[in-house]
Amino acid sequence: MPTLKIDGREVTVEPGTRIIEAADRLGVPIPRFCYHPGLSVAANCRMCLVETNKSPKLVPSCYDMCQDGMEVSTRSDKVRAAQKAVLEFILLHHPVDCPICDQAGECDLQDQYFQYDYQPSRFGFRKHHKPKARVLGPHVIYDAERCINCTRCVRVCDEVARAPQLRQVHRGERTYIDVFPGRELDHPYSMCTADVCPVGALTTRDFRFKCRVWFLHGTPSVCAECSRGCSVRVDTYRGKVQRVVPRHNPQVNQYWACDAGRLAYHRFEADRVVAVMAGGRTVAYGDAVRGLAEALQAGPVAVVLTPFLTCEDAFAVVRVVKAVAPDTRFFVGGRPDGDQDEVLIRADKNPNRRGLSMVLAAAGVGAEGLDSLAGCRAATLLVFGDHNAADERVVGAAGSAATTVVFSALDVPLLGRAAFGFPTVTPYEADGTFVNEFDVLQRVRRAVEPPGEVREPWRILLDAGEAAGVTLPARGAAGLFAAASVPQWVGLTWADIGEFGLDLARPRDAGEATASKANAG
Amino acid sequence: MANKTAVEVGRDLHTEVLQVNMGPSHPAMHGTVRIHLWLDGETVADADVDIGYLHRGFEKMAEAGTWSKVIPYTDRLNYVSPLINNVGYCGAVEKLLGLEITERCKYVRVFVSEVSRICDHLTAIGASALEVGAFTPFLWAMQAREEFYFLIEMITGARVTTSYTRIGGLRWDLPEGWVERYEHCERRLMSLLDDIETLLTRNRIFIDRNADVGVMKADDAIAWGFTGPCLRAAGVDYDVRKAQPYLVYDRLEFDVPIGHKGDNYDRYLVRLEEIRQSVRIIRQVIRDIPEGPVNVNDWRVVLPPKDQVYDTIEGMIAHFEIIMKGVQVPPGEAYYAVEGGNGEVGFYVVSDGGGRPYRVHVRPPCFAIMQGLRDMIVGGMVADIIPTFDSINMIGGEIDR
Repeated sequence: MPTLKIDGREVTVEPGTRIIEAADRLGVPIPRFCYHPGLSVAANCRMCLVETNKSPKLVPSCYDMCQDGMEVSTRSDKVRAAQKAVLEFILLHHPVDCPICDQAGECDLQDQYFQYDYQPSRFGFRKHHKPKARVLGPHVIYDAERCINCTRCVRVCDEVARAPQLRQVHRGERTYIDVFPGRELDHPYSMCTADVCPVGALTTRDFRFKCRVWFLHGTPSVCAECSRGCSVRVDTYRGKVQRVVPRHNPQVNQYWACDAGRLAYHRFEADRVVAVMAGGRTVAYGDAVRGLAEALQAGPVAVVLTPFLTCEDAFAVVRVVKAVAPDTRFFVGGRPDGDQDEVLIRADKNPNRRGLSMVLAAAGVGAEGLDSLAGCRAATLLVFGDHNAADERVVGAAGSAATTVVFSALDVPLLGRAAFGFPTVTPYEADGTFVNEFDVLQRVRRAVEPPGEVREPWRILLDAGEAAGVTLPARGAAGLFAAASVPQWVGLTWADIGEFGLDLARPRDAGEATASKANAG
Repeated sequence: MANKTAVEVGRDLHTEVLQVNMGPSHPAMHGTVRIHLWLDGETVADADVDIGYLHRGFEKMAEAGTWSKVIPYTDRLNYVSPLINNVGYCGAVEKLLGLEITERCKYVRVFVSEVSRICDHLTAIGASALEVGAFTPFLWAMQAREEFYFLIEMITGARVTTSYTRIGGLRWDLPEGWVERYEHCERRLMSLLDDIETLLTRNRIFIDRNADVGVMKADDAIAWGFTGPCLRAAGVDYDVRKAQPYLVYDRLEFDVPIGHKGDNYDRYLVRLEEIRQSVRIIRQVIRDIPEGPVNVNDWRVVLPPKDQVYDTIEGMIAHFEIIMKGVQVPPGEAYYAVEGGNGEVGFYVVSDGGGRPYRVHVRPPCFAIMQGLRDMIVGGMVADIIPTFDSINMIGGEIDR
């Protein structure tokens, strides 16, 4: 185990650790452009040069490994001079684009120039011109003048997406990034290239010129596009989702997210239903809740659940419906399966199938598939989710039911014919928990306020239960989670779910839950 | 029976203490302040000075923007001498940054500070005459101040909302012809000041109304935390410019006038002499001011020149970072005091290492002085409240922040 000193601070690391990783662990800042913890080492930007006692020349700290007895200086005069020189070269042909560049405000080049260089330009000649606003693919646009040729994007395509679509072309100072002639940057992770781009060279077409980044408000949440449940940050401005970017999570998605997941928020931009409906007309929420309670009491009841419900929603629905109508049959629908790959994307396109089945199992409910719905002959049919409400098996069952109640975020045809229709939250408005396909429990957080009469399903069922004389053990999503008595998370609260989520498959020792409880209390 | 004392007559008349509100909205209570009075006839039996009517939340607002965005707020502290506040705030941030400003900048900051002090004292003197019925000296003082406001406008572009200093320097250098303009101001000032003195200094009514009125003894003044003319009038030789010299005050020759009684009349005389001393300082500044840049050459602190911002990426980035993220001030705290019109104007700034202040606290001189107002007016006549209140020159923008 080599022990070394970085700026006078001692650290012991595993053999094979790069100097920059040891410095990151100590919190010693080393500027970098090409180094990315999720990618292979290129050592081409030379921004992370440090001085060591093991080499007469400065060494790239992202490449050189820690050695025993090494003394590293990150801020010596020699290093500072090198940093200034590197930045001067990088900025030599850089266009004056900050006012029109989407990266401005979250640009490594801006921040590192300001911190490490802050010298005027000495370059009095004409700058090189390279291709600008070059469409590389359906989601990404490239500006070669802003590019510093760090090749992070090339490595993302090669190593993460395993789709080698980008390459450096030309030589020397005319080098830039391009796709092969006649080809496009169109793999499912193409927008990761814009994430890792330290400057504004690669920008996503989705976010381009949409909003300045300093206006954005980021909410850590979970992607709902498939059962991987990637950790994401939902960036909003003025109550609207502007973009969704991946959040580092070593046990779910590393640093990455697929294009489909990031763009999924567009699905909820049109056709939202924001008023409570009864037979195609708007109705007061209280009247609809009483109507729902009466329909549950009338029975027999069938409930079509969706794996888009949070665990808290699912618990509230099952608990209230079973208390009012004990003979209720439960069916689980959801979005149909789709593509799957070896990287992140899973075939199951629903975010919480595992969580839903855990809640159902804990409640002693045997869930059936939608195919069994035909013979069910329920008088009251509760349908959750826009995709379920559009399923022809559900529509068929609704035709024979006396009362159909639909809970949907989007306006679907069944909503107009249903006795009652409740507008419900999207995954960006939900506040609760999802369990992904690999049993990792994560918090979904409310990034935007629900519009109009939109409510969470648990709240509607809470009100309907009270109208029917049934009370839930808590009157909030956090309380419902703690009260749900699901064996996988019994004794835990929302406060126990960390930044990276909880792996429910990993056995917890008794002390862990107690300790985190003390912190939460 | 025929020779009853006033007290006995009063007892017969069943007089009682009358409660009166002075202000907050009253022309004599400039700066919006309320004094809750208990009057026994015309004698002030007790008083409760009530401040806070001009509170804007300056200190909290300062935490919301970058370090540079605080500068315009400082104009609104002591709005009679805003340039001194500008100098004080930027000095505090520079102290925290460990930044040495240029020589020329130091002289310019002294120059604008002294010009502001002249304006401040002219206002206080003019108003103190006005409070006892003398309208002419007030108009003359305003006339002299107006000349200086033209000079300030010429330098900063604004009469009151100057925002002239920047962290690491100034908005711009002094304009061409500033010396000539100042000399014109000085000529008008000296002639008007002589006229004012002729009307007031040996004026029977003015002396009767002000001498031995609103007395604040040296010990009490120190105990209350008095600074500035009000402290010096009580005979304490304390001036921030001498006690903790900042900028280039240690290289300049000037006297600190002190009184001996601490009454309204002494405060008038101290301010009058301080105007003449300020003129003396400015003459030395004009003599000594070096050529050279007024801003430090560090793009982490001072905005690059506009041609560099528009034409080079380096200048563009530096500009962007300073405007959007703010000057990066290392973690720590600093207190920096300057001699303002009313005394020690102190800025206590705390940084948690970012582009925005973690905390900005102002020590406004008249906050301490206003605490002593009750002691200065209780036991006196109700008619003396106004000249006494004026002589401490309370500034609402500074006291309430």
